[in-house]
Amino acid sequence: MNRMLMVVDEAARDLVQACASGNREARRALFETYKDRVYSIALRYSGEPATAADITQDVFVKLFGQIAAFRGESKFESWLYRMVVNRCLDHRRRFSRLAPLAGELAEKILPAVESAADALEREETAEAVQAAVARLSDDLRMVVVLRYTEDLSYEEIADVVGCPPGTVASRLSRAHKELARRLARHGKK
Amino acid sequence: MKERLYRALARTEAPPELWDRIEATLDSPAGARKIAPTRVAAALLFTAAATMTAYLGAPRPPRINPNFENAAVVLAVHRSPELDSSVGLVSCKRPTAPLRTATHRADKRAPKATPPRAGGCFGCHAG
Repeated sequence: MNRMLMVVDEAARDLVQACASGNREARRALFETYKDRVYSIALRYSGEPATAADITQDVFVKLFGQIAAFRGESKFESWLYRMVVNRCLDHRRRFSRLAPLAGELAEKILPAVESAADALEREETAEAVQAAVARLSDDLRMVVVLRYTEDLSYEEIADVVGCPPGTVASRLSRAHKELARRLARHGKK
Repeated sequence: MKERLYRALARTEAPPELWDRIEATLDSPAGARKIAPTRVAAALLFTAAATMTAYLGAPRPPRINPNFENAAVVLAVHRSPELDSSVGLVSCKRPTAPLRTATHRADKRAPKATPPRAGGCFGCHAG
């Protein structure tokens, strides 16, 4: 298993080195390898496909601009995940000004679009869970997304988010309780 | 709970057109980026809303105003009418000084909500 991991790491390191020297095909290959991971974190964090696409684009543009600075002291994935997390938080800060207007607009449009049948279908589905996750605070949501979308360990999440593993555990525990409460309330309606 | 979270938050595929956007941004001059057609439409909508709010003289309009990417999109569409919301375009990433100044001046010039003068015809200087 360890040997297999070393082979994967070596392949990633070769790809990173080729990207640093400006090789277009290597950039495309790196993008194809990691695009779904980056996009999924952004999507599960933001809840919007257009925003997730913007975040993914920004992350890869920044990644290719800074890849020469990657020295291999940490795992490439951790470095990439850290970049995604920072970009998600930046994006949220930057566009929070627009949120009130977007929210008002969505409130006016959504009731007309969502039929009673759609609302019924939402019950106990993935969307209900995603909606509950979307209402978590930023720090709880990011930990939940990294744990359940990327299946990262507590130590890996701690490395990416920049806090002790104990804090990750307590955030996950709080998130689980909050989600259970919200989904139970949703199920009773 | 954990199984439900794994199912609901499972990894999804990124849209296939993303690489084209990234490549176009990498090839474009510094400070420019390719944006999604939906962002062009949203920028036009937000800027139109901001302009209308300022025009109608609402007491505190500018919460939607200082988004320079939106303003850059509007300028680009205005200058090149062949661009529309069906085409992603390369927009200015950072605000230029003239654009910043113009936006600031527009804020200052936004009419204040004032009641019509008593006894006069509103909008007619002859009173």
